[in-house]
Amino acid sequence: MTDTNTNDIDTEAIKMTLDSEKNKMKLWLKVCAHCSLCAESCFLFTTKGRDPKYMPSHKFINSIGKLYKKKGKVSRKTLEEIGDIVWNRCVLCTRCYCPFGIDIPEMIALGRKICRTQDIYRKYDEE
Amino acid sequence: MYQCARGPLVWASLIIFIIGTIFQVLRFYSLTRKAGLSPHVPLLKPAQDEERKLFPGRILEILKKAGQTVIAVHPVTITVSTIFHLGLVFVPFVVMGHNDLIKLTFGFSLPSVSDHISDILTMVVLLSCAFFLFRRIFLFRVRAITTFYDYLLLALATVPFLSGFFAFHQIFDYRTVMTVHMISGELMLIAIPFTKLSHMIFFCLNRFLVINEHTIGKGRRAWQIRFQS
Repeated sequence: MTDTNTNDIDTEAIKMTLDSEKNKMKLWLKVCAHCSLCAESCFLFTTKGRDPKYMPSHKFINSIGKLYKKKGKVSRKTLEEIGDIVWNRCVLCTRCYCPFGIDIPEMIALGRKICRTQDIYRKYDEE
Repeated sequence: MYQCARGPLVWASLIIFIIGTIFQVLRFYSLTRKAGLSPHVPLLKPAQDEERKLFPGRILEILKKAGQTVIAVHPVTITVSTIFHLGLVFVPFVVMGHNDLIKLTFGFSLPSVSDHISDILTMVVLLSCAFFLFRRIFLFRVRAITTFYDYLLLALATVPFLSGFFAFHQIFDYRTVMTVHMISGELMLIAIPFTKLSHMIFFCLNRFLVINEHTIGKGRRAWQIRFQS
């Protein structure tokens, strides 16, 4: 379960950031009933061939949800995957709908904040 | 087992449910703060909205508003979901057998419906459970975020109704079915404040009290922000 190589990641810094928002984020992660009703509210979901990867819930479960599950102890590879989710699969348009009023953009924003501390930024198209 | 489930366990689960719910409500208030000026911006509000509308006009308006929400995107799921959740909460209160027990304990009873109608209502809830199960199994995007835990919670909501149905129709051994019925109901009650079923509590709080684009009520609270840098 745990990632093997966490040497090149400041897991303590990640954990501190996670802890600062722990109560709220854990509550949101718990309240999510995995109903997938948020899907159509994401314009990326509707324009990327309705790929579940672009569902708001899929995005926060596999980014912030994963970080809380592993208590910040992730490898660079995992964090880069999380970076791909929070930077490239979401534009923070803040239009996502959740039947339970989960503030999904705030979760993605926290994911971005954590990625920034580990030098994982948005990668722009190289032409 | 049977005696324990119908006696002390009922009270224990009720007390845990009530205390847990109070705890979660207090937790909600500690995680939110009173927001300042209302940041609500009236969206797409045409000027002629001011004039008084007659009844059909108002209905049309409500339908138009509903057409801009998730109801228009997933009409079937939302309808089944609404029926399922209302049934889950209210059917146990209108079943005659339950009301007899309430009368025995508290001396008053709630309005109840006939056995035939409560049987139909139970079947409606069970069919909606089946709908959610099929949705979880066969819809790719629901399956993408489904874990074992989700099936467990669906089972936790289904078993009390299924066993109640079996008990009413005297299918299988009555005493065993009744024990399963009581214990599963008690487990569900205990699970509400502490598991994913807490969405029952937080749906009401989050959607009605917190300012959000999809607020149903007039939200006046906002989530606490504790970002540190």
